Amino acid sequence: MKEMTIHNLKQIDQYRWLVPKQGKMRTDGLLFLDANLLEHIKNDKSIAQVANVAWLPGIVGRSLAMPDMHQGYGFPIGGVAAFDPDQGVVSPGGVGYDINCGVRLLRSALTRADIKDEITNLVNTLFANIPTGVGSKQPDLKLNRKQLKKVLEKGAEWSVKNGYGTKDDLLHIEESGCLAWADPEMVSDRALDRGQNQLGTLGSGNHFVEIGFVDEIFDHKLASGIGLAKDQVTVIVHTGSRGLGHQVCGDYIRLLQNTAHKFGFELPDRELCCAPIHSPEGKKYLAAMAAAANFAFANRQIITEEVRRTFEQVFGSGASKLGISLVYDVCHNIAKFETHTVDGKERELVVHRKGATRAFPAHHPKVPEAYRITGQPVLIPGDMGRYSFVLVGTERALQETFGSTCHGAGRVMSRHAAKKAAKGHNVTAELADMGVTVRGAGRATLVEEIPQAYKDVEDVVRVVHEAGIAKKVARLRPLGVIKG
Amino acid sequence: MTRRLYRIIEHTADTGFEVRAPTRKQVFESAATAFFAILWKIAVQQQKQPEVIEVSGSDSEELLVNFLEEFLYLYDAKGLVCTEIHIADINNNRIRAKAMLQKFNEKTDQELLTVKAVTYHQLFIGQENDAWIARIFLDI
Repeated sequence: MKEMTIHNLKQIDQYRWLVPKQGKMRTDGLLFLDANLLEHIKNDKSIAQVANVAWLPGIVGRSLAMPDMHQGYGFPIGGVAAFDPDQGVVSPGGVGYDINCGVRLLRSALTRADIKDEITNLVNTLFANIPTGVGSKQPDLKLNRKQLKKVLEKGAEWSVKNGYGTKDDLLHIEESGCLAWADPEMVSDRALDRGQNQLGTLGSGNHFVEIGFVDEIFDHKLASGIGLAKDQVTVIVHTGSRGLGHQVCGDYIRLLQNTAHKFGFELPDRELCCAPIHSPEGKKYLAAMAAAANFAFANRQIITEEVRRTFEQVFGSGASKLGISLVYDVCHNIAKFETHTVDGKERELVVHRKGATRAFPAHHPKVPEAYRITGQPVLIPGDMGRYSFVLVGTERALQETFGSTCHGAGRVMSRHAAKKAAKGHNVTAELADMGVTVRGAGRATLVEEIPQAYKDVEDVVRVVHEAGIAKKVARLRPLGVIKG
Repeated sequence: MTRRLYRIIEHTADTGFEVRAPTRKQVFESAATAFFAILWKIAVQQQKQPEVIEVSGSDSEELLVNFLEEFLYLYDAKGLVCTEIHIADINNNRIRAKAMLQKFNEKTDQELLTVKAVTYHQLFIGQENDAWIARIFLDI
């Protein structure tokens, strides 16, 4: 297997690095990094992966990487690439195994002072209401195959129709919580088996629900425009399409590996297997991927309602009085049809975002009415001890990155190294000292997710803000976290 | 002390492992056994009749991925863990194995690592000197 190791990196400015077109690359790569973040990743394979993505047929513009980039499978994590729908390809590796893993941010009418004596209670009640960990099941949701397929077709709308949340929620989700080209019939029985009991569950690994508060505002006008104020209580939900999405990705990687020779593509990495967007295989993958993405939208919607129920149980008043409403929900791992202007011409493209967030500016037609003036809210979670950031999309992101920005902090320690580092430490007690009450399904996840295992998300956010591909609005601090 | 069953390969975002064995059949068995040890700590092995598992793949690499993925599916969809595996037949693109399967017990058993998928990233199965080697990266 050939891997590119020489990148001839050229620094364009403080935050932009060009990977010049070389060998079989069809276009340049462009990395958004500062010198410090470059140090973190220069020895992994992520820059080679940016170059590898540039090999793919029909790529439009550059092969991009956001500042939280690190080595992934096929595509780097933090990778963004757009393809022409007629000449280009779609790649399951460009979306990843956790299809539509994403985050949503909720705001409330409560302040930090209102909940300070109830954090432990809130965390314990959340933990009781939201099934966490692998193999966790939603006891109240017994779906038959027909109902499950409806979920895959309708996404978050299915959840709302079935009593989880309000119609207003749907207006505050990327693509209104449903990719219309989904076809549940393209999802295998095995994937359905894996998803059958997992709707409304958090899952494991880096997935979480976090109660926090707004601790700093960087732009008051934008913050008030998206309904955030200092000390306001917020909730972040981070999860995806669970085993169903993992199986869809695996199924289509298998399928496309066995059809790659048919298309005559020369690929530098087996995980970059792909199919022309208009081919039967490409169409099937896109339809199955959209179905899995809809499962993830429905999942986060159900969990949102569980969050509301939790607050009602603890505070004994109705959700409307507590004002728990959805700010926005964004996808991290997705391929979507989007319209972009390239060289002055409007074109429909298939944009892959793998560990990257859509960041559309003010006045963009895809940005919901509520955010037409501010730009689309972008939520960047950090590790469980530190902070997360709220930003908005910008015009520059639209011009340079197909309206994309970073998605998180990115690991600096392998899970194995994190376990070693956590040896002899009481992670729960140390987080409590930092003011964070945490409950996890197992100690294993907690130690793998220690704050030291991640980069400081502020370093990542600084780069996107300074480079102009998102604008900082506010910072949130965690108070209580449940982990899968 | 016996030789370690597998070696963990460090990878910032994910986890890989490597196993060695004298034959191709044994390297598949070792890879599966290592996979189980990385995923679960099972308190008590139940004595049950083994179940037959059949997996196919277009080449050794795909066969290995599909073989391990089978256990991920059984775990995720049916809550079953495998405590012992014996390969009855193996050729270039098919495995027939006998697997001791039991229900994961949430009270006594432990999940050590949550795995989303077995990947093709830097996947290797083949002979180096006299040993068969398999290197596998997991998406977690």
